[in-house]
Amino acid sequence: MSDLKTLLATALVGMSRAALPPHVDTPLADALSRVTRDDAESTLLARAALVGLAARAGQLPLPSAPPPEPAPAELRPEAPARVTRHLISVLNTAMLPEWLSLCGAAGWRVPHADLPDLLDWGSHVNEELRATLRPVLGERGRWLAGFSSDWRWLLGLKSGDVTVDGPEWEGATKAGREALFRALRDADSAASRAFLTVHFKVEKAGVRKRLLDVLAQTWEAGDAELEPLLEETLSDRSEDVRAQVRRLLQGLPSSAYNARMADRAKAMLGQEKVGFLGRLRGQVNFTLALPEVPDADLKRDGLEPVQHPAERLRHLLNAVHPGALMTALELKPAGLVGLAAQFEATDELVRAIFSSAAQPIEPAFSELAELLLPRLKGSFTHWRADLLALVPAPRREAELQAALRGHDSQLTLTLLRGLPTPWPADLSTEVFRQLSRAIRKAESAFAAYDKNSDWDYAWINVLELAQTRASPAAPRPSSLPADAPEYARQTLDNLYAGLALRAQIHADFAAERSL
Amino acid sequence: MSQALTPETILSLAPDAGSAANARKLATPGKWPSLNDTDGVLWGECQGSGKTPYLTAVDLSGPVAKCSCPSRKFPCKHGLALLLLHASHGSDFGSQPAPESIQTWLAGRQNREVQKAEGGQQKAEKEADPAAQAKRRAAREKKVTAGLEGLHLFLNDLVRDGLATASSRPYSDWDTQAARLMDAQAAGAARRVAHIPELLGDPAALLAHLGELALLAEGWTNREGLVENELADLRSALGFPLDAAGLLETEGIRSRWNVLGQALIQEETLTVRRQWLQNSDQTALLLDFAPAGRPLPPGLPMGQSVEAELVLAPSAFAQRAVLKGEARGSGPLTDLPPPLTLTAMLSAHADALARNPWLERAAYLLGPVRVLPGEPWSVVDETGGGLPLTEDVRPLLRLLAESAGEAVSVFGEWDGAAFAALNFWTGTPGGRR
Repeated sequence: MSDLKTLLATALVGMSRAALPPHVDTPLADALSRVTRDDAESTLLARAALVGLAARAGQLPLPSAPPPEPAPAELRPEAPARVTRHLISVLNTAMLPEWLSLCGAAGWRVPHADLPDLLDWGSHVNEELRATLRPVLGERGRWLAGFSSDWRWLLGLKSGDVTVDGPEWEGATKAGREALFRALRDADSAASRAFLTVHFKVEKAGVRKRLLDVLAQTWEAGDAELEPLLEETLSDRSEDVRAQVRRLLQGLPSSAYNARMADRAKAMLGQEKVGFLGRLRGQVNFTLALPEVPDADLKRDGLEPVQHPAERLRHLLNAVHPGALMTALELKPAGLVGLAAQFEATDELVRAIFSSAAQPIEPAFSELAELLLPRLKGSFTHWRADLLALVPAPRREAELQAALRGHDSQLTLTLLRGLPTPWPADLSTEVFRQLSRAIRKAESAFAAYDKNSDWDYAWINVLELAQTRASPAAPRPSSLPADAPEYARQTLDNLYAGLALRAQIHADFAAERSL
Repeated sequence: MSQALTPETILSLAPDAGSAANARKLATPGKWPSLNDTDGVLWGECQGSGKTPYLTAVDLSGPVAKCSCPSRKFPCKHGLALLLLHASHGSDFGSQPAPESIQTWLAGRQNREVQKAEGGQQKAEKEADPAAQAKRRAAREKKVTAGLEGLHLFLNDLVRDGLATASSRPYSDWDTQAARLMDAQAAGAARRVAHIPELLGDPAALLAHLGELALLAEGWTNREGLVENELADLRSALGFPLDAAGLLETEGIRSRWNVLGQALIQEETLTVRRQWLQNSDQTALLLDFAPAGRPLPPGLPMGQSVEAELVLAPSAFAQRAVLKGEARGSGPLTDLPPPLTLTAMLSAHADALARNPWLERAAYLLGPVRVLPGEPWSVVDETGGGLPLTEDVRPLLRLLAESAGEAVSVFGEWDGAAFAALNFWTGTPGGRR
């Protein structure tokens, strides 16, 4: 037994019940036997000190595990120093994604020394920002990510990595199953559809709802083949699930659900004769009547019994794909909007547009949006910016110019958010001008709380957007007068300094790429 | 003219993490209406919160910064940003002569150097009354003696009752004993007692730790028999403060010192910085403390060498040192010792422990070695033998990123249980990575 173990055995029991152990035939035996004190306790402690020190001083290296696979060779060249010099000041700022995109577009990768900081950044941002990072991390980045659990996100998932039919799924909570299904959607959407077909019905209502949420968020064209399952789910026991699945089917223009809804509308509608003047103007007057034949699928499709035909029409307009409806009724967008207007159902039509609109935007939707814009009223005016997002670009730009000139900060913000980066130079300059106007009297950021102040939170957000999205080379209006408050001057100076940095970054990338 | 410092070295000079982060954000030419580089002095104006921009200057020979901003941190974020800009945007610097206030500052620095060289006689006059000092020292020693006698009884009680029952003792037992030693002005012993509860699950480590405490108490009782350097080590282990003022009165080692590594430890109420310097076969440790939320004093440029005078504190294994005057002439690393294998490091450490049994850590340059991810990560040399690395793997990931798993030279601290990597070189130490 080692000296330490002998001493420990005695020390554990206590000197009141045990005697000092002898040390025989160990390397330290002689030295230990020579350590004696007045009392046994002190002797034990002194010997323990000697043994402990000898152990610390006598350490040897231990055999080690085999080294990891060496890092694979890089396929992309390292970004030149003229562009990487900016990394230190843009790291962890809103300017980083732009730098990363430029680097990715140039076909370069980042220096190895910057990988840990960038991988850390990637751990804290959303998938959209990660997409700017992935291409520039290089082979070394992917190799390195394997050594930290925080960086696993980079390695992504191969279809074989996600198992949704094993104990992992069985043991997962609702949120856990949602995450697993999301991972499966990412890795292999065909497998995710096959999984739903088999598995959907046996899950609990809470999980079914979550699975449909994921499906709605990650919808792609191929998911149309799920229609039979979705159609069947219209009879689900849970109203939440039914409502969710109706929205999914509404978004699928050719779905049987949309066809049924459109047929119902068609069966209700008649046309009144209009006078000569009306005919000249292309006016159509619709009449409504509830069908006399009972509709077996009514409840299944989410429609309630109604007293008045107009009520039914409003429900239908809300719940059908406007494109499918126009086809069934042989109406043009103006006709559909006229119908909705006649029965005070424009709000329902607006909602239906946003339940059904897919990217890219169909021309018919664009036209509908233009026609509906002047008809927004009451609480629906907040759809304005969203409808503007659907109209053709020149119309939207005119609207944005008007919002800027009219100092409508909220509308300006929403419209700017929808624009691609970078903004055109003249628009950027106009934004700078309006920012200068709004901020020129602000003493501090608290001015945004003041009702009478021009400077509000929407402008603060516009300023933040401008920092990363305005054209960096756009001309800037003359600076604020010398007597303007410090906060106002500094805020603008910061904006311009950031833009100057971006301009420099763009110039450096352009110069290096042309070499 | 010294070479441009790397951003990493510049940020290692930051007195706290906030300054480093803010300096990064300020390091864009757009925030500096003027930037200049004249004869080893950088200066520029940075738009700050006031109407007039701040005037910032850095004397590259230190590097030492001066700024007109109200920050009491040295260097402030403007000084660091100016250094960063010089490293990344050197071509944006003009060569306008520095304004008068900076010229005055530079002249003042040179004058002080001259005065210092002529001798610091004035300080000695302020020396307190030696009789009163001796009295204070005797009073403190008496307190320590009483405290350690109490500790000795406490330790004897523990082994008499048996360590098996130690873990059932209330926590207040350990706290009270630690507090008593604190009151007895034996902070080092108090810290070791406070560490006991962490070892209750590992009886072997606990016994060795108690032995070390007993050795401290015994050493103090028998201190008459110790030579001066051994006594100094004992006093330091017990928590007697270093007489830095006294050391600065004595002659130090004037030489070119390599600044090889820096460890920053954030404790509950204290930030501790250990900077490791090396000159031929002497390693020196500069230790700085700052209360939580307060900046550390200016540090030395890591990965560089400086002209400095260091006074080593008396010890049987001398490594703790104080910097006398100011370090200057920052330049590349020079004359590094050959890196050690793991066995050679352990052997050197055993030698150090033989001289100072209370030594907590020492720093070594290892190489060629690899780091291996695992639980825990380990450092491995060419013989295949390995030692555990400390838990903080973030610096190791940086090492792997650059080395791709190939062998490197690593400088770091060994505390007898784990190696903490502080700096590394993929090529020859001091050469380009």
